[in-house]
Amino acid sequence: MKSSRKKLSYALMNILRDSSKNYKHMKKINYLVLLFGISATLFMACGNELEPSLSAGTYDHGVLIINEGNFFSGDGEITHYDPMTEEVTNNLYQKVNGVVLAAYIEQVRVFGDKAYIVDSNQGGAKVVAVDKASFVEKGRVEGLEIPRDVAVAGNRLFIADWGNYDDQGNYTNPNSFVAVADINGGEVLEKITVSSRPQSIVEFNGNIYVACQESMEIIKINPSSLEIVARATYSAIPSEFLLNKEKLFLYSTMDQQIHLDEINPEALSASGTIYDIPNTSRLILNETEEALVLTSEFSEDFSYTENQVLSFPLSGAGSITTIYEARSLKGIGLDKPDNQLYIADDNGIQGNGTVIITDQNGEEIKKLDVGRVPSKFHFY
Amino acid sequence: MLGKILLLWVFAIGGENHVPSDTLDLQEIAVYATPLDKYAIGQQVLTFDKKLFKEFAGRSLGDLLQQNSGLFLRQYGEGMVASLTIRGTSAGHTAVFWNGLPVNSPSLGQTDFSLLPNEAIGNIAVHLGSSGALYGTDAIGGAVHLYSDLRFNQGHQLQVNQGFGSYGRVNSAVSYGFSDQKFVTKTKVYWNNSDNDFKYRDLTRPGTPEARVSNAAVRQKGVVQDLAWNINPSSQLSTAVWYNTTNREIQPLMGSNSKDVQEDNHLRWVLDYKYFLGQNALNLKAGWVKDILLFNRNSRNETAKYFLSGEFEWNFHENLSSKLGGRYTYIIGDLSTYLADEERMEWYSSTTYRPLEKLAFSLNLRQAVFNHEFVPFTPSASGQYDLIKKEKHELSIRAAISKSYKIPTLNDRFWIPGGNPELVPEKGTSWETGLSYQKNFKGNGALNMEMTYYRMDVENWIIWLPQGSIWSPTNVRNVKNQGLEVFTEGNYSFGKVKLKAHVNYAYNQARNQTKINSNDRSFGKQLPYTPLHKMQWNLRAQRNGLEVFINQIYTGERFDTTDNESIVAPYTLWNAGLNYQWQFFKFEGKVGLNIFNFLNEHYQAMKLRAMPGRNYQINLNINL
Repeated sequence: MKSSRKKLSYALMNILRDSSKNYKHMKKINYLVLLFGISATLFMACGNELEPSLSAGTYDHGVLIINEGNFFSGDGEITHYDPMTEEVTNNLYQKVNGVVLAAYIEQVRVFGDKAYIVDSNQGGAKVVAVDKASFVEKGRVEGLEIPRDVAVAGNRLFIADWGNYDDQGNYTNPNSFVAVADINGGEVLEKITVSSRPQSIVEFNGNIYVACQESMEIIKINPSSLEIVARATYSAIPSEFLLNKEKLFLYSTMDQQIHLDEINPEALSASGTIYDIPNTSRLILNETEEALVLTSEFSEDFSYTENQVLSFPLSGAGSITTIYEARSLKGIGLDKPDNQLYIADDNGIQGNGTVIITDQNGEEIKKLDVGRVPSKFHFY
Repeated sequence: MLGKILLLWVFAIGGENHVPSDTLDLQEIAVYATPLDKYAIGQQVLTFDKKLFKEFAGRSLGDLLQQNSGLFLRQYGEGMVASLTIRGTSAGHTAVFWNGLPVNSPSLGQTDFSLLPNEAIGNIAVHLGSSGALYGTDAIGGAVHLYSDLRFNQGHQLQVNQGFGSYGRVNSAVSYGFSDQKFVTKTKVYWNNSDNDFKYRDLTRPGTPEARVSNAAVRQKGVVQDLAWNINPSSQLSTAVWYNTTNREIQPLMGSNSKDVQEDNHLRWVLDYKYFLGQNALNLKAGWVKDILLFNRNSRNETAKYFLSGEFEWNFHENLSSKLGGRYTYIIGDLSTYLADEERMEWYSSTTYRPLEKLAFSLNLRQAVFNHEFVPFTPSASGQYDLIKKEKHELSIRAAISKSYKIPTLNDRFWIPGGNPELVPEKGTSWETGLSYQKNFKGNGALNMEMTYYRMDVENWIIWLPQGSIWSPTNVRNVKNQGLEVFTEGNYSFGKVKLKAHVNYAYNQARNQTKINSNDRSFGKQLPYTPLHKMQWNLRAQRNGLEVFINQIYTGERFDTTDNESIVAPYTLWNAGLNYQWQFFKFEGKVGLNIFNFLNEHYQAMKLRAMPGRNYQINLNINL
């Protein structure tokens, strides 16, 4: 390409020379030639190639930081952090695979030797399966609408998908489903119709459980027959299933309260555990019977928001402790072996984000420069 | 020696330097308008060769500016949204006028240049630099003026233009005009269609395979009617109506097959009455601008602006002119989430004084009020001094200092959820200095050169920040801009061969001065999608009726986030073409062939927004 451009600028100079029949004009035209020559050569080189810039390394342990990306930008990516070496690798997918992920990432889950990236980018939604150790893409599931979460049972992927928005502009999702595909990706094999907005999906004791936000319903699916075997209405808006000590919990919110219910896997009944903590967006459980939550406190005119990371005992018998306060916090994660808290700061979604690592009391240990809108963590 | 040094500045261009004309002759001037640069002494006003509007028939003004100036437009795909950034400011920091009416959307605060078809525009001028005192809100980076082009005493004129191009491009336009000494009418009708199904490399799939864009078709049509009437030797009435409708599929990001569609309808009407008292003139103006945007057929956003303005201009003598005016604007917005209205009043005065033959000044003052709140007083002062003024060459030094402002948009204040009624206007302070050089080559040619250095501070810049699950705008950002603009234009004749060339180079540094929080890494960094460098040149050779041209555009790297941690690659485009002027009995016209991006560069102006490779367009123009 560069060679053809050089030929072109050379030809251009010749044309100019040929057109000047009178030598006395040459001095003047030489300025033109000089300047066009300069511009033609100085401003030609510009690579636009995408090549893998990172040899497939070993990422089979550490922390996956999910940078979900900005709306309609397709700039979601994964950051890998190795706490042992303190090495941070941003844009991990692109660096390993040499292509842009083009994602708005909802979730990343690791099952077996693969990590699954759930992308709800408008019109290009997909679940990408990558090798956990190398992060090389192994396959993808397309034909999705607004996938939110993924689970694995046997050799099948179960993808919770809100389905398309209605065509009346009301932003409801009347056609929600759970997509079934092979764990290595490929075509959607089956779509199981569920009630509106399946937000969280989990495999527990050999069954698939789905929590639907809009319909406030819990659904149990037999992963072999792909049939819904039980369903129950629920009293709050589900956010996420949590597995703790071989029990199934569901974190939900309703009326400025947290619902953190143990779910009976057969009857789908809920324990009815409620905490009076408003405006929470993330909840994680630690090893000492405590929950950590991320809360938001808005100014009256909504011109700014203060975020807090709080801890409270699950027994409800102790006090609520403020661990960390800042603005523009987006997510929290807990590295349980080291008892270190990972706090995601999206920096107002104007640029890339920051992850603050603290001890269990909120004392800062380290900050990591990560990608666009960090929001979730996966420790493995 | 000085001339040679100046020649080494790099090149030529420039807008035409209008010589303010105070002689009013209604037999020749169809629609009298004060020359744009009359009260902008010391600042640059770019104009463009009318040939370009023919060459870019079927395309938008955004395409024309992107490929023929140092200005950068953020293009979200071929035929998709194109927002102009001047001197490193945002899309909303450029005021846009049509026949003197401000046409920036009151809800979005900006103009989409992809919705301005070249067929509908008679002429344009781009005022570079802060000019809030001259034009009012939005003119922080500069202003773009679109004009009708009417002339008396032209008789009957019928023009037919038909174009065909790659990717299903078909553009048609018919224009009929009649004028005598007292009356002129001109009607233009146009249709522009493009399937836009070009191929591109899909950077989101393993192996980056070739893919074809889907859902990017554009269907545009419109009509422009201009009328002017010399009522008597001292008064003139003119009016213009422009209706434009564009149905677009919204080109998705690479890796997406979204099927969004958008329909934009614009109706603009202006009525001007001018009354001349000797060398003085009274101008009364009324206008109406109606915008309707329909997204995905169900989200309707409608705004209307009504204008009344009056202005009186005194030309005391040939060295001193002044004007005093006021404008009332009523805006109403009926958008998908809110209903709002507002009133704006503004008063202004402008004076130009030339105390010496070599020295001229302009002083502009403006006070605006919106919704009963005063916008900070907005003055500007500028001047020009001719260091050398000889028959063969002229050298001038110029300088300007100015304030500017932008009233928050309706969406900024009233959008539900998140709109913030407490927002205050954004404000800019700018100064600039430059040199202008002109040289004549003994009647064989001419060279014009302009070089400008500017600095600008923009404060209270509004950005939308997430507040929990909603976004809300705040006056949080301050930005310092500085840059260099070099424009050079030259022409020279070698016997029957006429060469004409221009070069534009723009260096725009726009550095953020605000941290959102302590972790924000954007302090001191270049604003997103603001290239530090843009360079463009064009060379034309003409012999008899045949003209060939070649054009190169280099756009430097852009950052896609405020912290400058990721880059959208620079790109270089080459265009070429030829035009042939023909005559056949009573018919005459032009046939033109354009080859755009003939080196087939794979590029993106905005990240993951595919742009077309090599493509062609043929235009046939017939004049009767």
